[in-house]
Amino acid sequence: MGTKKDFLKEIDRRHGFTAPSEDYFEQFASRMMGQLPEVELLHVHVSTLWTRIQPWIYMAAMFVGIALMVRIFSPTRKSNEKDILAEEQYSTEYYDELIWTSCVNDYNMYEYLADAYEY
Amino acid sequence: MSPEYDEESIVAQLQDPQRCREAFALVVKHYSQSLYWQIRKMVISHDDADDLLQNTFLKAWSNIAYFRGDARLSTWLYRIAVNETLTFLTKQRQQNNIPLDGEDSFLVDRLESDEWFDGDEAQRKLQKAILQLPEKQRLIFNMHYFDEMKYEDISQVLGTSVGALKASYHHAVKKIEKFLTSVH
Repeated sequence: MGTKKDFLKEIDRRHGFTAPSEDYFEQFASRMMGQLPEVELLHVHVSTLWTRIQPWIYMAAMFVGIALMVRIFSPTRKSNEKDILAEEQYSTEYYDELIWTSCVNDYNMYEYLADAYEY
Repeated sequence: MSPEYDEESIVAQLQDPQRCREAFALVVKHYSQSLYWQIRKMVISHDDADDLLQNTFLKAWSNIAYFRGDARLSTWLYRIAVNETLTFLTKQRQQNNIPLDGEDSFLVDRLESDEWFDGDEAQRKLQKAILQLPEKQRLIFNMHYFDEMKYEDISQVLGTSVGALKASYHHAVKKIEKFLTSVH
């Protein structure tokens, strides 16, 4: 390996390429700057709090929306509602309040029920 | 390279839309030579190297807002230049109907006819030997041998581990020496 390394070292460590003129790089720099588009001055991304939390807010809103839809259209919820209505229909408090507000006393009620049994 | 160049302040200026252009002019002035030679050694032709160097800076300019200083500016620019060069060479291979694992014989022809090559016979032979190498190995050899870049820096540019780079350089040297002994 040592002798082979020396073999490479025998060659001048220069690549041998040259630029077409001495001031090529100075000319290149000014030519390059002339080519740069003016408008490209660039939309530096200003990251506000809103832009950072926006996706999370949207995702949360989406989940809330889905949860509401599930609640509204769920069949178990409908049966629950029916049960509640049924309970309310037969509750004694409901009849007491109805009797109270319709000026019907207990005697009238028994009379009505007795008539109903006669037929 | 310009003595007034201070990378930290240049990077800060590049983030400021008011001073960005002025700072970029300093970047072009500072890096155009090293990038040019890097590209030139790969594509041989001056005209192609000139075009690719312009494309490199244009790409850097249009993406400067995304440069946040996580990597060094030189690493970032080298990376763009290397990508541009490799893409160009792939297109050239396709145009010359050269298979992916074939030798870049068209580059040897270019070297022979290059009017901007003033190396002696030994240097010309060395360049021919380098042109026998696969593109990435050629890049590694050029960066380490001619530019004396550290393996750590090359690793940043090429995204290859230092160990793999050392192995690749070692293989490249072996191939070059074999070529040189065969033509002697």
